[in-house]
Amino acid sequence: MSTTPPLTTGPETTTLTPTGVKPIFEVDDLQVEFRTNAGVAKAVNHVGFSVAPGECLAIVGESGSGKTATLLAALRLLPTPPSRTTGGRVLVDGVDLFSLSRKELRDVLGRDISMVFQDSLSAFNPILTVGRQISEGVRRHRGLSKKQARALSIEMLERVGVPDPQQRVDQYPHQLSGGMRQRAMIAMALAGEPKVLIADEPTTALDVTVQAQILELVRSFQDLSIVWVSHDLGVVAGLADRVAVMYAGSIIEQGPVREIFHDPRHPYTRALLGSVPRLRDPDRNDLVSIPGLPPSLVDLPPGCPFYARCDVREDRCLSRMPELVDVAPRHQAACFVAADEARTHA
Amino acid sequence: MGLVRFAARRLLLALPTLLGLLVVAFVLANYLPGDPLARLLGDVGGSDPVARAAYEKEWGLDAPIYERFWVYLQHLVTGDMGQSTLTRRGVADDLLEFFPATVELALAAIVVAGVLGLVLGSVAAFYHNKWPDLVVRTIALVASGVPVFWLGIIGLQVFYLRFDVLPGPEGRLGRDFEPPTHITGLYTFDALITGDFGTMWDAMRHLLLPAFVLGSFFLGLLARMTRASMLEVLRAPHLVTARSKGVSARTLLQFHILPNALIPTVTVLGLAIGGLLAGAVLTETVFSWPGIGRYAVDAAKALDYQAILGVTVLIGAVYVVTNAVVDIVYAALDPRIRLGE
Repeated sequence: MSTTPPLTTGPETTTLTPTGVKPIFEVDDLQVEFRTNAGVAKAVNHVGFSVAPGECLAIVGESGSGKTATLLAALRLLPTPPSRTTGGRVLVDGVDLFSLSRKELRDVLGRDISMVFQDSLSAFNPILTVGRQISEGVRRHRGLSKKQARALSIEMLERVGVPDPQQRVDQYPHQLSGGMRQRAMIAMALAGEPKVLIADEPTTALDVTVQAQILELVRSFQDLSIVWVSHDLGVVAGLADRVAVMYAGSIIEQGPVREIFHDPRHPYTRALLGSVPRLRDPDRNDLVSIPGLPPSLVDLPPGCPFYARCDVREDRCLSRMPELVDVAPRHQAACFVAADEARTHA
Repeated sequence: MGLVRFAARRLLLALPTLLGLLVVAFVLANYLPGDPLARLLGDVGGSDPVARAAYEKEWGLDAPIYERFWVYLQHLVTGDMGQSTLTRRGVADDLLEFFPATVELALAAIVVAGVLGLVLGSVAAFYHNKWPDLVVRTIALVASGVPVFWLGIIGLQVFYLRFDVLPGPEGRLGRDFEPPTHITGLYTFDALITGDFGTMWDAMRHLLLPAFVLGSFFLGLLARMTRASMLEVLRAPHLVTARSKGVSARTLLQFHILPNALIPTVTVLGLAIGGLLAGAVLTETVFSWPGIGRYAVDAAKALDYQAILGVTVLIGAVYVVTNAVVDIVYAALDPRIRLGE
């Protein structure tokens, strides 16, 4: 599985992190398939990214673009079948997750890397107390007693700003409000003091004020490396250091958050940003959408998956999938046209 | 304490249900077709209006139905369920004698159906769409589809007549054994307590086939329910969360899979208790099992209204009570019920 990726699959991942820093979390050439009734869906295609210590990488893209599948597959949490990870490598602090046994994997999950999920109600087990679930993983990792585990749960709840943690710790998930429950889930993910936190649209189900509180909370964990999955570009702009844009199972552009928002190179990223409604733009009254639909993952075209919806498409885009190439320092896009533009400007 | 309050409320709610049950059973028994007087007084006396009037007066049958119901209710509270015209004894005494045999049979059937149903259902879910799943689904379909009396006769054909490994339809014990000292009326249990292991073994051998036959329907039902709820839990998002925390495989199974999957089956198990008592009628007839099923059949054939009413009330009451108990157990297991949404 951990063979050297072919040269065509994109740049060395290490060059993406801020200069000279060894990445703490690295996904390399990940490929995931799903068996469906319609055929094999290629949900994740040669996805690679890396996160430096203390860095926040946002992965954005519309529903079904493979954001969640990428991360679940990276942590080996996707059910097989129907999914199958057909290639790639995932390193957490230098440890290759795909080479570990099930038991070794359990030692890494929840301790070095942990995850926060979108729907906090279904992500908690309804019949166990919140407190029990917060410290359950750590209890095994550190061999804590029941009493120590409970104390840890209370401490964690307090750290994420849940009022009355002494009482909340013994309550069940359905007794907490949505915002409280999301905080509790963050407490649960952080209980093992992981180096990397993966957050899969953790604020999507919350209303805007609660969402702001959760973002504030996450921003306060400065040493933590975060992978934040979202389709909400506003949230991403305020939180991320770098952004990776996914489309039809591939990363089609990635770079520093400022560059992605102010100087997007891939036509999809441009269209995506163009579809964000703005209150203060007097010329724009209508909601702008990208015409067409993403291609079926079961039947991906050999060329660029965005071809059918692209406004700068050329014939060469049909022949093969463009690779991610540098279009600016630390900024890559997978587009022939964008690459040519970058070359002429350089 | 949420659970105590919940239990108290649920048990209180069972009282009006019981009363409703009594009314329905009494009215139905009263309007059942057939002429019990003709049967009691014989052909001649039954057609003699004087004899009929005298009998009706003696037994209070000339009073309006609500008055008779009131009398029945007053007697019932003191444990008097009236006289059986068939056995010439108190119905309550009859039930006390026949009920333990049925309870023992039903409990054995519950154990068989429960254990096998849960295990088979779990196996099917863990090997979803593989051959063990197919085998279990076939067993479940057959077990809950085949009529009880047919299964009983086939069982006797195979295990008694053909291979002679199990006793025939001779009731609860072989001819060489005396019933153990009466403590609960459950022969296996009483024999165990008094240390009479020979009798216990014989009682168990007699119990095995009828319990299987009686439990087969619920075995199939439970296997399918367990399979379905297990599959649902195996796909549940909270399982991904648990795995993402790196909990051990044992914790996963013991705290995140089994309890969640088994809660729905508790409901079925509770309903099964009532269903098995009612289903005992056929099984007991096939196996000459001296329980209330056979008592009810004999009572019905003899138009013994008081006995029919007694059996109906007893089974109905067990139904109502087990239902309440199931709800309480459910609440104990699932905090969402106990603490309200």
